[in-house]
Amino acid sequence: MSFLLSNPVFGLEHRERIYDTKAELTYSKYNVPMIRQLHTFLSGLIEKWKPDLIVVLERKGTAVLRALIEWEEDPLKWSWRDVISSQVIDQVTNQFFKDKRILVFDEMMRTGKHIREFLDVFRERQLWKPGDKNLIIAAFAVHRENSEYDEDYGQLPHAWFYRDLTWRGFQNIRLQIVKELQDAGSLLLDTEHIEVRFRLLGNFDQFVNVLRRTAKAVVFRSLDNRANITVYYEDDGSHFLSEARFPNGTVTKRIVKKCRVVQREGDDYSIIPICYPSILKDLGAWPSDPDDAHLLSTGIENSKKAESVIGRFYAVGLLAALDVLEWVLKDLAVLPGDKYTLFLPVIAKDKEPKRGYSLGHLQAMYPALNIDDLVKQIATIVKRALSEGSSLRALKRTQPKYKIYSDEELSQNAIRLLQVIRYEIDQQIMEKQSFRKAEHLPIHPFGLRAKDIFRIGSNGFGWEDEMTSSLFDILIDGAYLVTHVEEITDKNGDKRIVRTFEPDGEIVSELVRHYTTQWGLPYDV
Amino acid sequence: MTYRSFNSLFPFMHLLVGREGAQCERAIRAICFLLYGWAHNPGQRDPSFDEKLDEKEGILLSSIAFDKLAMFFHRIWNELFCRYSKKVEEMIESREFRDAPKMVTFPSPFQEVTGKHGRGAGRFGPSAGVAPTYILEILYSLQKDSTVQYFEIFPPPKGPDSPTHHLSTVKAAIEITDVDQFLEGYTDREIQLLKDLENSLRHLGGSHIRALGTHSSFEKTKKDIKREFKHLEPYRDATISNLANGECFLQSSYVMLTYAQEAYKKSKTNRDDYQEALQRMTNFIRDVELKDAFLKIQKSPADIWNGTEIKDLADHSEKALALSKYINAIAYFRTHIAARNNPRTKDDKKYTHRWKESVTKLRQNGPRVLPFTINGVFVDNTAEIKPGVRDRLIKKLQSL
Repeated sequence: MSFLLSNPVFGLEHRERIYDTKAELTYSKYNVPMIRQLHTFLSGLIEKWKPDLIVVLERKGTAVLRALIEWEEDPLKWSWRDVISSQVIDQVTNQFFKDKRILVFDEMMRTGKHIREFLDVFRERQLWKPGDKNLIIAAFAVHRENSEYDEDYGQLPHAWFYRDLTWRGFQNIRLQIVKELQDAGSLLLDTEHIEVRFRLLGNFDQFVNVLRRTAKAVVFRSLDNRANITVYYEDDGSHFLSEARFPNGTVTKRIVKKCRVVQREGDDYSIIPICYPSILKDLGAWPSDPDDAHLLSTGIENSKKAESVIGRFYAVGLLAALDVLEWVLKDLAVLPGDKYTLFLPVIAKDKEPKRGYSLGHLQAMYPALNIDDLVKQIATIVKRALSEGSSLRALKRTQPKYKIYSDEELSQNAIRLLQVIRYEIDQQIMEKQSFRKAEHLPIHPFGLRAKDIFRIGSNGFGWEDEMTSSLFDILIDGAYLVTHVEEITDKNGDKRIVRTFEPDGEIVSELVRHYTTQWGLPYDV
Repeated sequence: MTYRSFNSLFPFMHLLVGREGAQCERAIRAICFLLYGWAHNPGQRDPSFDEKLDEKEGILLSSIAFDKLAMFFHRIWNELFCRYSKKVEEMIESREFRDAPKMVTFPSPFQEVTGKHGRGAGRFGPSAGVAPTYILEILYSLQKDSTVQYFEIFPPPKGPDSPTHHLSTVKAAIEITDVDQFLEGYTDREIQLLKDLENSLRHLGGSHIRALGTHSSFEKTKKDIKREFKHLEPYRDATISNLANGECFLQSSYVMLTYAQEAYKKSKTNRDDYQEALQRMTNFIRDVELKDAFLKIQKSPADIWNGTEIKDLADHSEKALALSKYINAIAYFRTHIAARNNPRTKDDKKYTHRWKESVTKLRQNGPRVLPFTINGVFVDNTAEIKPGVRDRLIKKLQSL
């Protein structure tokens, strides 16, 4: 089979020389931004191969695609309706893929393990077999470890921009991509979170103080000098989630329950509520609320199957995030009305909006989500929160005490936390290996839960939980930490689905281990 | 150790600049220095179980004791580095190195990795799920490559080619004729500390070193003992299953015994060696800071062993050990019928001794539910264990 091959802007050999040098990160002498290179790669593929659907391999694959679609200079012309994340393909039936030309995109490919895992799933569903012409794998940068032909899968990938990269070259390209994503605002490129935007017309500190009325807020500047706020909600009386909406057995304590506020441009900010309760693996019929069922649409029908656990987990997370959104908007509403302007997402209808912003990107993670329903629910929440919040304006309230953390302290602690996370995971994997034969290794992913990391922060380092929470954000934004959804067995013997965290891939993991080798583990742990 | 990390593009970038391998080399060379001094200038110490005098090679340290020496170095050096880490960070950032001679400038490059019978110095990676490499394995591969040979590791002549085998031994491979030259590259402070450490360690026997490296605090000792029991469980279950099915249980009972033995050592018998080691080190360390660091990382024997938890674990492990020996001996005599009454070979005698030890302990530990003569276990001169005895054995094992 002849495949579409990459047509890089510059010769591969030339690139290899540049990226193989031991040096600080530099651009090529032609100074082509990475985003342009990515754009050239993907747009070239789209133009020549004309796919009907793009499957993005998590997690940076989705972020890269969103960065390209929202790139002001030369946005990639592609609709979110025609994108699905590899994490949630079990939420859709085979009909979704039938008769479609499918482009599977990953920004980096080292061993190709994730791509092969994806193809295994497709093969099991009889959607693909080696030699099929309806599906191509496109990886922007490919490590030399993956140059062998595999009989089970054929030659992978089918399209690339950089290939046969050394370890150093691979690292450098990854760095450039990460930098590009950071410049674009990292979390702002996520496709699994609700987002509400506002413009701050008043004082930033005043805004942070209203957030601190009922929550713990930590402010930091990310690499691209954006203001970030981690708004951490404790398990207190004011911040209980609407458990009636969730499946039986859902755990809502010691979970990720926060809001990120991220500066966009100038005085514009995004409010991004994040909440992931842990759910039982065996859910039974859910949701019971007809409005929720309509919101989550046919995705939940599919979710009744045992294999759609990830879909259900994210669906519960989406609903939980709406509660968090209400809390933060209520606090925002304590500000006088002339101090901010809220912008609601538009209802997408059939076209992408020319003005304002939409939540269409959520379709990558929630393929059956009724976006218009979601926007209407958000509008209702906004109305209710503003009404309740403004009535609180008159109330005198003693500002709770809070700590200020410098960016330096946060960034130093983030590295220390990352070291300990890697060490803990390595120890746990080893413990499990001790009790099994070598071939029965713990299945990837293998991360720590939020409560484990909070425990490291509080018991190990003596940090407040809000500090630890902000470190999660710093590490995830910097592509040092990645999130997963994993099945665990809790102390009652029940199988649960939970959010976990681990260092992002072997590149970061090995560098963390090297760092620990050179500088030791944080002593005070 | 920290950096102004996230203000730079990639916090680990400085890893690429200049320090690759230097730290590991320094740590390994330091351990070599300690081992050489220990082997060639024995202080006030008696020969012990964990060392061996070889006519050709001199005094060799057992692999297990060496592993614990490395573990002890890892601990003490990290504690020392911690006292200077902020200054080292400032020094690197300001590029003002004039105070470097007064500092400890690097931590141990290893990590504390849980091994089969406790913690050892090692390294995780290169990818998750790949077994960690312990210091002995690292050194042995260097030895085989002839890359950097500070040590010579001798696997057992009739055993597997494994540096971590309990019969493997280690010696320093370099003749240190000029200490100052050998320690070139270390700061003045590091040299002072290494010399004081070396001078103190000479007075420890191999078993003292092993105990010092194995134990440091109550919490870790408790965890380590419990871990031995956790590891024991699958072999106990296998022994029960084989016993019930009339199959051979020699191997599973032996492994069970080794874990029970380790648990017992850690909960009880190591105390004496540890106490002696602590006493000697405290007597011989001269440097105030080193002594302070030492006493910080190595808690007193009372702290570690006097609490009820460790005492309970000691009782439990003593019973587990006695039972494991008992069952292991039965497993042997099951197929060595003639040896039951007439031990002739070395193994016959070993297992007879094991049987007697176990019976002595079982007599002390409670009412008699198991036979105290080997012939009382089996049906006449057969391999068949009396059903009642078998059931009682299984019950006893299940209670472990």
